[in-house]
Amino acid sequence: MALHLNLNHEIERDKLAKARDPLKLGMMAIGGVAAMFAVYYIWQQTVMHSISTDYEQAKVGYEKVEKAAEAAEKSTAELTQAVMLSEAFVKRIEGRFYWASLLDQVTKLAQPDIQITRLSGEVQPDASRRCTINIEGVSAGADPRKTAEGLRKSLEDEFSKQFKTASVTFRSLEDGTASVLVGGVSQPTALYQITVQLGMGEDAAPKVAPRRAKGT
Amino acid sequence: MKLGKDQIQKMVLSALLLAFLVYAYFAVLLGPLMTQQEAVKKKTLELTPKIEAADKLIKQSAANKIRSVGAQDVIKQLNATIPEGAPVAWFPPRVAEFYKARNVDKVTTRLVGMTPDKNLLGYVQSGWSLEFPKVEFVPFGKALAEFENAELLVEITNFAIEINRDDVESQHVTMTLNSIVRK
Repeated sequence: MALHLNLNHEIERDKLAKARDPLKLGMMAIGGVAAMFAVYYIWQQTVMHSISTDYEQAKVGYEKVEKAAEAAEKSTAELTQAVMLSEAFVKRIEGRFYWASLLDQVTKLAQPDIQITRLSGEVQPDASRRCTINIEGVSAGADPRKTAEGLRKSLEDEFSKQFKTASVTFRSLEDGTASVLVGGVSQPTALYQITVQLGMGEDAAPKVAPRRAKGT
Repeated sequence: MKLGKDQIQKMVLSALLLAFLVYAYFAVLLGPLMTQQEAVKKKTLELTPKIEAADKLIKQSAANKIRSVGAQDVIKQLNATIPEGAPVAWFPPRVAEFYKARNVDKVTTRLVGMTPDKNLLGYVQSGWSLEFPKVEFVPFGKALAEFENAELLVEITNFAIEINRDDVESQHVTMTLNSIVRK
């Protein structure tokens, strides 16, 4: 058997020791970990950049809409005020009481044997919009009181159709002292005063149903 | 394999360096970055409802604008019927001219007072007293109807018509009316 002598064993041992140096291996491991950390950090920076871009875009968008929203808010307030003003105008105009129309109706209902000497009225400015009208005059005929009652009834019938509530009552009805000529015939007269109350407003009192006579 | 003292020292040193690296990475680099990310995400999320609310407001305003076109037209038309200046300077001549054009010559118009109207901001109600000493019923009735239809801002609140004592063929008329005028 041949004797083999390794004269370089010291050199090889040193080489091996150098290759297995814990510090060197540790540095390599730390370098690996640091590289992984760096890659993850760079990726997170990219994510951060993306998030920041989104935020910047949202911020710019919000600044834009914020100005528009402020203008819109102001405009909405003005428009709302305009709508309310317009509604108030329209309500006022549509809720007016037309006196010419009333005069026309009363004139048409007054028969030739009825004379109206005075007509006056007032509309309440509050929400009830109640209108009170006083009609004074002279009625003539074989039964002048009946003639005046005819006028009252026809006024009531006419206004009941037109207004929410209508009440037509005599304030006074007295025999007149003078006689008048109607169709060439002298007839007695009666002096009447009629009060008309008309309800036009939303909160006008409801119509009172006529009472039923007992036993009917 | 037995580790020498020198090797153990090197291993401990490597472990210490690694620990320091991990600590420094999380404490100095990644930690603040993640905190910053969370903060920015939160801010972005906070902006979203604000943008939605602003968008909603803008849409509402646009819808209101369309709806209010009619209302603004009404106000414009009514404003056009109210002349500039003190009402006492233009209202009585306007009434006189209106009735004169319809053969009702004599009318006296007096200012009774001005009252604010809480429903009509920027406007006031001017109260007027009108007196027609001598009118013929039918022409006057027609003129009154036209007046009520033409003067949309006028409302007659009191009205009285009676036979003239000295001339039973004519009537005496008094009325009180409110007219809307600018403040």
